[in-house]
Amino acid sequence: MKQEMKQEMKHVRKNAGNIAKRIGGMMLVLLLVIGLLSGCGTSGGGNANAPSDGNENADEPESLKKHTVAVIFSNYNTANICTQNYYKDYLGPEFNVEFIFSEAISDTDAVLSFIENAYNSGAEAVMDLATTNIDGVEPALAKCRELGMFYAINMDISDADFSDYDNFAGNVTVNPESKKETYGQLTEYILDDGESHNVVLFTGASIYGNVGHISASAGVLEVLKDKYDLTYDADVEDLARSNSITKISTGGDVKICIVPLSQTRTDDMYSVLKDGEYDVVIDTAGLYADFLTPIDNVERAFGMDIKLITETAPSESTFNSFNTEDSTGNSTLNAASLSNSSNAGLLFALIYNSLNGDLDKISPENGSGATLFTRKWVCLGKESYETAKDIDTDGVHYTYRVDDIKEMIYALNPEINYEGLQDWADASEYSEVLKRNGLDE
Amino acid sequence: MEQKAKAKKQVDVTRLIQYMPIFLLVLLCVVFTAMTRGRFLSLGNVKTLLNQSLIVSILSTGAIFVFSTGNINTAMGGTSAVSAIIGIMAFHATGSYVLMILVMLAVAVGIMTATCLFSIYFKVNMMMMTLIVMNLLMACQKALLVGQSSAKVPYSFANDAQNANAPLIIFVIFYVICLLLFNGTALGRKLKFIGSSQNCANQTGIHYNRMLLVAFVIAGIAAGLGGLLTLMRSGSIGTTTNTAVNMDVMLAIVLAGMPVSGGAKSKISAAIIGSLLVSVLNSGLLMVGVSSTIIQAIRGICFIVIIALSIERTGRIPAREI
Repeated sequence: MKQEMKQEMKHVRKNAGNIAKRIGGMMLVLLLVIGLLSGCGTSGGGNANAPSDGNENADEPESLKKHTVAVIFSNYNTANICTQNYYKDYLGPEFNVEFIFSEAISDTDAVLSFIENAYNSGAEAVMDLATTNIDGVEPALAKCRELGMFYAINMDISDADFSDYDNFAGNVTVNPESKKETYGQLTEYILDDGESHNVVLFTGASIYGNVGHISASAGVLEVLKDKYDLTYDADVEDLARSNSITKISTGGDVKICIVPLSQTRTDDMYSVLKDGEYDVVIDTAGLYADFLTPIDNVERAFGMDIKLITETAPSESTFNSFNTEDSTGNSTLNAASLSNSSNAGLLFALIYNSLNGDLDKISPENGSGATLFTRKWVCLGKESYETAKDIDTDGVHYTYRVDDIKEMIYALNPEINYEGLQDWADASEYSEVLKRNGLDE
Repeated sequence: MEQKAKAKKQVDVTRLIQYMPIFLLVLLCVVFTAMTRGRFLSLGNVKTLLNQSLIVSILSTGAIFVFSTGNINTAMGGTSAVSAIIGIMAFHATGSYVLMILVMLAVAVGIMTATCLFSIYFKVNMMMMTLIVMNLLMACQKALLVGQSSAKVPYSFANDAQNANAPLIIFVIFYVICLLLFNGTALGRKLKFIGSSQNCANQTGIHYNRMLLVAFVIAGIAAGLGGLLTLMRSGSIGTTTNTAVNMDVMLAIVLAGMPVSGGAKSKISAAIIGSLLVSVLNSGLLMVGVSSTIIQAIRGICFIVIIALSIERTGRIPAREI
């Protein structure tokens, strides 16, 4: 009996220890959560001013009423961090707008969940910088309409029709033709030394129908065709859509190899470069960092200089890439298509006008949301980058300053309309931006 | 006598521990409601929470059958996405939604069955096997969508399904069937017994391989339905759809107090409670102003803490119980 009791007590003690640990664990998790709740409130959701939340700002002029806007990012790369800072630290305080930023999401289901949660946190509109395919737009638009939110997107599709949705504020995109032109200029710059070059063209998400990547790739192929008098056996856009590593027929001695987007892109690039045949790599998708190691390995092995063109944003790593010499003493990065915050500024203008009830004033005549075509900058070498590097990054110079944005807001400038906004989109050209920021001397 | 009473009291506390996840759920709801001045428990938000948790709930319900045997299945998300894409292809070929759903279920069950059989016959550790399959499926997802941004059905399909509450109805039917199978038949007991001690289960005549195969077939059905629910929510499946859902499934299961080592403590209710906990955390933290990137980190930390607490340590915490 005594033995039995002893055993039972042993079991109870063991259980009690287990229980204590589990309770401790659960409490630890709870404390952790609550601790973080009080310490990490950065998104503004906690203070969100939902439309139904009273009238504490009722006396303020309509244009400066407090608003909450949700922003969706697919990743937190340098360009998106600049955009986040532009909204949060620069435009937000000036226009009395709070922002709720998403985690890095690209899946439509996650986008819908974020929209729902942001709405419940007080957001009145959504700026989508994550959705890249047109099929993801309709569910997001429908969800926003259901919740009574406005929706604007930054997407590489210029001919999408969402006129059925009265909550669609518009799309800000890079004109595919201008992207083609930009990559054409970059390619010409590299080929201009009079020598013959063999080119590896990384076509990015062209295989998934990404219009921007297809246009950029087509721009490169067209310049190569004209420069070296080549003949292709297919249309340049079809070639850009190649779904595997393809050495295309050029009808001449110049070699062109197409590398599409894949999870093994670094290995793919190495497998193409390893024989030392190619001396130019053109990346249309901003993934050049993945190719630096294979390029460096081949340059060292063959003592050759491989020139690199990419799409990137002004940042410390871009600065380093332009200013770091490779094993042959040349710049690691030779030329780039530079993104800027024009898309962020125009998206904000579209949404802010919508929130003020002025969407119809800035929409095209057919009534559907505006499509605004913005521009990328052509950066030819490190000297060219020196001037561009501070814009949108130094907290002083911006593609669109507060005064510029005010000009795009109907409540502050009743002259503005769809054409006026498009003029502002055109004014994202590099020389214009330098002029506005007083950097053109 | 007094000692006996004390022992009984302690055992009662053990029972209380089983309700800890529910307590945690209620507590989080109370905290978030207080911090958002009641907005957290508004009808709209509660509806949103339920809606958002459905996909994770259905995948978790299926995954629990595998988890209860002490195995981990990390291929649920990939299976649901790939089966949905192939189902959509069938729809485009025939125009039949019924056929689309049947194809989805068949493909998902096929993938899960093949994964299980491969692991059994080639004696590959199940977690390694499902990790490999997860990566293979991610590649398949991209390969199947080459040349298009996503596979889609007319958005009216998603719209009509949402209006008819089809996702909720599908989940409830599937959950009730699983509840009966897991708690009311020998299948559930056998799976838990295997999770508690595979050797003992073998010695009592339970056929491990057969039981594991059944568990994977049920997980396959759940993955197929998960794909269908995803389609009913967004109308399309892209190259990244459901790639991150495996983490939410595992987080839901462990948050709801089910040990990753399976066994007698496995419970089917973990799917609902866990999924709700994940949704409540995501939504509540955002509503009180925590940035989304920090929410991601919190989810990761919660996962590590709970795993660390529930993992079996010989001679210390007896995680498995028979």
